[in-house]
Amino acid sequence: MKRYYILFENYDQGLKLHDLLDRAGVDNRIAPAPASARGELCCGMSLLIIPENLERAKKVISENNAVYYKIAEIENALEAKRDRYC
Amino acid sequence: MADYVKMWKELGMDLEAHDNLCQVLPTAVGDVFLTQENRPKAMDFWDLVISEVHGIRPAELIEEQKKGRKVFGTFCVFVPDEIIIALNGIVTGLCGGSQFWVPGGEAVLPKNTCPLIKASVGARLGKTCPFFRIADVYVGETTCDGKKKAYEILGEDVPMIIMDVPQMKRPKDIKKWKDEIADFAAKVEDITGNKLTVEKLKEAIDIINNKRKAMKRVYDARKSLNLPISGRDTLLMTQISFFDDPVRCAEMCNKLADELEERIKNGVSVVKEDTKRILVTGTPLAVPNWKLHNIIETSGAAVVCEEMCTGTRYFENLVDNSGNTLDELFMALSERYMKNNCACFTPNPGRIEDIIRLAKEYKADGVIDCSLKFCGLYDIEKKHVSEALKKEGIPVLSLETDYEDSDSGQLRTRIEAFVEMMKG
Amino acid sequence: MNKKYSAGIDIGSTCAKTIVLDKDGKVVYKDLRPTGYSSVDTAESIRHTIEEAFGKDSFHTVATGYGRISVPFADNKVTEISCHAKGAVRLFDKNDINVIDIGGQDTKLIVIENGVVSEFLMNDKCSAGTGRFLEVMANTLSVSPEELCAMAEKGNETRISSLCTVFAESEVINLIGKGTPREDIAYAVIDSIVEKVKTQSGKLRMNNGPLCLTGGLCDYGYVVKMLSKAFNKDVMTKPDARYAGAMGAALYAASQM
Repeated sequence: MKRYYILFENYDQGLKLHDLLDRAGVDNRIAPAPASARGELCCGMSLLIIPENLERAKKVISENNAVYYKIAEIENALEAKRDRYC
Repeated sequence: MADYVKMWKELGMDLEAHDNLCQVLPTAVGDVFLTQENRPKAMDFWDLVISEVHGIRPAELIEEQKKGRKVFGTFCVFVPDEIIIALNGIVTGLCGGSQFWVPGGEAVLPKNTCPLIKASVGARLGKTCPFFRIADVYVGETTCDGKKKAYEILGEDVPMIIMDVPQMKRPKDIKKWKDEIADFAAKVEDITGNKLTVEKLKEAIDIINNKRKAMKRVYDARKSLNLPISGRDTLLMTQISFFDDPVRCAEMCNKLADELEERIKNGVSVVKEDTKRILVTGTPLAVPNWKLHNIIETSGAAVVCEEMCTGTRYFENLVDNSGNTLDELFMALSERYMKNNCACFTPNPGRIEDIIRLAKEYKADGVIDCSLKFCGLYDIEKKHVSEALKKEGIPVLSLETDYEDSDSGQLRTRIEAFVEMMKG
Repeated sequence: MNKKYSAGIDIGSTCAKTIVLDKDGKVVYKDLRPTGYSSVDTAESIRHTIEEAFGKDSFHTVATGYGRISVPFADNKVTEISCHAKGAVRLFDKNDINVIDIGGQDTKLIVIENGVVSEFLMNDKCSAGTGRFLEVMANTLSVSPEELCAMAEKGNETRISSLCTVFAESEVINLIGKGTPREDIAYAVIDSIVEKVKTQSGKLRMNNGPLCLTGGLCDYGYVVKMLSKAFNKDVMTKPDARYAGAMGAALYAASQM
């Protein structure tokens, strides 16, 4: 399953969009940005979105001119029994 | 977020090594937390903090230092936060919960030292923990031999205050801890340049009591058979509470508790009905140590309470603030802290009473007694814990583990078998 | 459900064991093969064999053992602790028993009351006191595990550390260097396995029922004899006891049908 991470330059931008998405009823969760998607960004928060909600999230972004860095697509990134801790 | 790099550089951190740590965190957080369904909305706060765990709070601490406030890094729940807060200092936890830091610790410590100590020393010496870099002074204590000796190594390049925790609980020991608190207050006065007053100390006692009450509200919600929050989420809340500002911590915990109480009213649960309820007891689980909780909660069970320093031992019992002199308040502090049933005390019947009481209060189906490898104190105490629980007819599983992933399969087998045994 | 058979597959670290039961609970197939490098491949080859014999989709399968996650076609997975207990209850036809399972990479002690597990213990990461330990030591002495047991019977009382495989191995090398007879070293190896099991057992409350040995060492009469001596109680075993895990898994499969 694909998952989408919305990345930001700072968490203020992230929290603003998080709030907008919540108010629009678009499920999203705050998550550490996956290392593979970060590019030149330092580690920090991102918003995790499931594919079904992507279009609605994009709509909220454009309607509110919300600021973000990029949207990264990641294939099957989560696994509860992987047992890789840090 | 680019400014964090600047901040870390100014803190003298090893950026390259630190980046390796940043690489693994998102996977672990994703696997452990974001695979859960129906998490409380109020977990947003802790999701944000863990996503920026070496960013947000360190930046705040540095801002406060610029105003002249001093930051005290602590290792143990015996350090009386109230004294530091009353003198306008800031308390922060320190790093020590990741395998990432263990090899650095092993470079200077014997291999058979507990992973918490090895990781703490490794985090300090490897320059990959901003909290260790920021703290103006570390406060250690004498709760185990490993820490006592490790503090001598840490003290080589940072000022350290060591508090001598009694090893027994006679009246003279409680008096001794009171004197130790008074000595500590004098040292914190020196470092902060502030003078302790009855008024300030009472205020600080209220602040920390409020934090304890708020955390207890969240834990109380887990007593409901309709479990409104997972053990993993509560553990994260507890772990972060060691690093956060106590007033904000109380506010966030209360907000979470509001939501959990609402969930109980509406019958919202995070687990299936036949999920077995587990009380875990033993050594602390420092952030980001989530292995035990994750394995339990992906094996048909849920953690409903932690009888640990990262759990009930942190917030149970309030400090009586009715005293009118510093001496009376120091005694009240000593009495509260000496109620902690750490395995460093001998004898330690209070811990067993606590475990049985908590197992009943939280309606646990079984107890998992887990200690970090090479922690002799908790390992030896397993015998009495297990005998007492068996006598009560409460199933118990004793485990020992460290921060490595490699024993996950064996832990899974034991924990799954324990759950199968409880299901009959 | 119109499945005719229930299959239990126990993928251990050394051997994979399979038991198939018919609708009446009678054993209609049993199979033992090395697990080899890939437990996934082994599981597939077992599937192939039993499908050939009994037909596709004709059985409900439960997988157990350390490689239980490598059996994707299993309908269910149950831990080896529960399976060994259930299997032992059937094999020894008793509801209150104590099971010692000396497996390839771990040793389990299971107390069973009224047919269900009441307590259990497993060794930790270290392989001291396991079948693996016996193999390593036999290798060091350039004999097979069977030969080691036969030699041990003729050996004189000699002791090595029972704490850790690595230490024990270097102690064995020391003994070889000193010219100690192989028989005496073999004695020490078995003694150390038995001691380790006996020491572990102190941490749980065994009941008055029989003490049974399951797992790969059940054919080794000398091990059974020395265990009986250490526990001061006749240790029961039978050739099929190495199938206890697979039997238990098959019984779980039957109960889930």
